[in-house]
Amino acid sequence: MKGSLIILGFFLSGVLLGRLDIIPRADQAGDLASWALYMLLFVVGMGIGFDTRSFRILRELHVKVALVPLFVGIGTLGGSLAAWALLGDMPLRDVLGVGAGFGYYSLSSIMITKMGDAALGSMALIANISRELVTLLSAPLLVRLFGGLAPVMAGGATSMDTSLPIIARYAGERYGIIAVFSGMVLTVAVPILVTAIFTWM
Amino acid sequence: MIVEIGCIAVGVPAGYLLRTRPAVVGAVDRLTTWSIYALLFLLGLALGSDDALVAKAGDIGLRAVVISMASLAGSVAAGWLLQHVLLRGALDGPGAASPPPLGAGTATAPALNHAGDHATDHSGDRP
Repeated sequence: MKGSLIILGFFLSGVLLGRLDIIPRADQAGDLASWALYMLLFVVGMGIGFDTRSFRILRELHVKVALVPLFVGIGTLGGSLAAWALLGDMPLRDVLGVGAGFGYYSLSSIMITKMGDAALGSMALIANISRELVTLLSAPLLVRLFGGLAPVMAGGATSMDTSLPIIARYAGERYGIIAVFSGMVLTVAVPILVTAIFTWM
Repeated sequence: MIVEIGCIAVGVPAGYLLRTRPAVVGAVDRLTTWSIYALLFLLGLALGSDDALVAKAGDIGLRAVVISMASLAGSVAAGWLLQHVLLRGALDGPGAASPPPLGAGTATAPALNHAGDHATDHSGDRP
């Protein structure tokens, strides 16, 4: 939560400085941003390599747990299709790309800015931050209405870290472990899916 | 966009090999955090300095909320289908899933710490 607010702070101070025209020729930053993105992707990859929990979880729990992140993907796809039909005038590629962040707002918004444009990147930032925020706020209600798996599904990629404490507390320890596994798989899937959507659609 | 995937694909084995070195892990965490700050600041800058985009900010936000809430609802629905129709409660496991009391203590990353060798605790610190 605190991390999201700091990130939002950096984004908003960028917006403010851009409004004030203090920094001339902001478009010059494009090249720098490309290299920063490559470095970010490399260190994100390293962070994934550091963490060997998911293999252990897959061994300890039933293999059916692998269906959880798959169904988050299917549900997100279905929801994005519905949003695309509702909004009416957006390219399907853009809607699917924003949805495929699974709550991982930092990486998805940065990648979408690079592959799409700043408007779409900002949309991805807001969409994925609100997915995380609503998961945190509604986790107890989701558990009561739909069962322990519901906040894991809602949290998407965030269920391995930011929304893990609340999932473990209201859905129980076992769903906390499922949440870590599902979140890790989706975290890896975000850059791959976003790249695939913007390359081939 | 083979370069993007390539960067991650090279990073994962590098991270796996270096996962027991706290200095590397710490440096990677800091580098991740600050490159995210920098890139989102630049995104804000690009948005703020573009008058046409600022004029559309409300529209962008509304669309974002529609997409995220539809995705969240779709995921919860898919999870319900998985749990109650396809698996019929198989994820609950033996002796689990009694509804937790509302005042239960704060539980973080339960039962994962016992097995040991993950080098960092990422909770609350998404890269």
